[in-house]
Amino acid sequence: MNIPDLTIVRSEQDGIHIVVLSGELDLRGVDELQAALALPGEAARVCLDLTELAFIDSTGLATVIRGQQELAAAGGAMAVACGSTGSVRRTLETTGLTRLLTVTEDRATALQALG
Amino acid sequence: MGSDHDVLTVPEAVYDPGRLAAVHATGLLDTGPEDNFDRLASLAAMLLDAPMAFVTLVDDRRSFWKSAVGAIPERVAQARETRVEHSFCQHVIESSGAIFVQDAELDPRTSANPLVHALSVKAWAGFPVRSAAGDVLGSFCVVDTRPRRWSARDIEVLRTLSYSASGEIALLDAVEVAQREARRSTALARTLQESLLVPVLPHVPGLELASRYRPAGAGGELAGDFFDVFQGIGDSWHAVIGDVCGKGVEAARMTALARYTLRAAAMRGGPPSAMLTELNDALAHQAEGRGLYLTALVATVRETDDGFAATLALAGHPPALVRRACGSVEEAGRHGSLLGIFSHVTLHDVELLLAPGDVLVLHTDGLTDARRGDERFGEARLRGAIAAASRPSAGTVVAELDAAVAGFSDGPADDDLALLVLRVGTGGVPWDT
Repeated sequence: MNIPDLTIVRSEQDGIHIVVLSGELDLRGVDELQAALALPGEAARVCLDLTELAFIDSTGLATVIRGQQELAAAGGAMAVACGSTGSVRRTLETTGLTRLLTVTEDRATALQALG
Repeated sequence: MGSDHDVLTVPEAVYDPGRLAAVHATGLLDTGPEDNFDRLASLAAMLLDAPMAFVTLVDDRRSFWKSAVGAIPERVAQARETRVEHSFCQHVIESSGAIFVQDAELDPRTSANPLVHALSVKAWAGFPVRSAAGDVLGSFCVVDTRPRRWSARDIEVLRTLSYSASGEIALLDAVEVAQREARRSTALARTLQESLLVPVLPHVPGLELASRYRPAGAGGELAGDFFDVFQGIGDSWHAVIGDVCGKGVEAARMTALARYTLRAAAMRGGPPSAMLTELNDALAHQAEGRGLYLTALVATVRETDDGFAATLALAGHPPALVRRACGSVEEAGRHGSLLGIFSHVTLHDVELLLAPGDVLVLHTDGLTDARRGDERFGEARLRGAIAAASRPSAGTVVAELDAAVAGFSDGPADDDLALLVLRVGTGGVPWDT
């Protein structure tokens, strides 16, 4: 079996923390993502880039929601870029999260939303 | 049963040693209030518009209030118990069934009971709370301060919530057992999961129903897919499918709460979006800050002259698929918010007509997420498999979809899979179109 893993790349731009995910996000990757989202500190602004992510399951989604809520509660913010098509965009639409979270098509728009 | 209803004569069933042992085994006597029981009691008080609601456990000398919500008079609120000979619960234990008192001052079982004045109990309705083995531990009851006639809807709501209270106790018990004997927990998980699922689908006139549930590969953990089919008000029926994100006892508890809340909410007669909104309110408290959530689909159907009229709402759940009698497959439902995370949800009711021979397929994402290498079963294969069903019967669609997913996967499933299929009868020979 060839199961793609999750890859997380972190960077920073103008004080905004950028977390880029690729591969697949499911139960195997949630601990790593949780750590990555907590790392910038509580009140940080985080841009979560899912445009290269091929798949997200319900446990991955729960980690994203929890990350967003923890940031928001501490005065921070999160914006999620997820492309305009593909499995991840569809999942965010099915669950109504495109309206409940700040969700954009690309990273540049997500950064603008946080800026 | 004696003819003398003196309140000081406590029924013998109260002192049954097996029952008393079961009450003590819950470990709940003299414990503080807990959200899971208070929530059910509050829901009962709200839905029945009753000023007080209780979850009680009765030992050999008192009725202990595990939960007491509402306008409890201060002088009795502190004690959180009543003497068994003054309790209404003793009658529930004696009858091992529900008790309804319309006017406590006139009812011979209660007219001499000092609580009628101390608590202003004028009307009382209670169902037994049972252990997993069936012993009556106490009661789930509501109290009104005015005489009232309990309606069929009141009774149904109370019955439903009392089952949930019993389920809570079974879950608590299960946690204990699981902790003590980790090796037996797989079997226990399966038993609990089975108790959460519908063992037998009801007979719905004019509809054929079939379902399938397959737990995730490991099988040792409680998983979160569920479905339910039940009658609503009048001739309406509700089909529910859902998916709790998470594993373990917390998820199992959320699953139970979801099923019972939707059943209770259906008795209000609102559309599926209202039922799901009510579920979101009930979940908001429990799931807070834990990232636990659930997705669900509710379809309400009612027979008409031309088939079945269906109203359907999605809460974070994948749309239903309809296979028309002619063989085409279409999506049904409009995306709506998942439940348990946000206090505000946006949900949409969509209406559709199911003609004779039409098949409605409800599924959880365990089906489309089934994996082969880096490929997923996906929606296109799902539609294809539904369209390709060799016969349009509910049973065939379920069996062939399940086989298609199993044949596609190359390893143990990561997630549960649940399928619920309804087909409108054609009035002729079954399954021939």
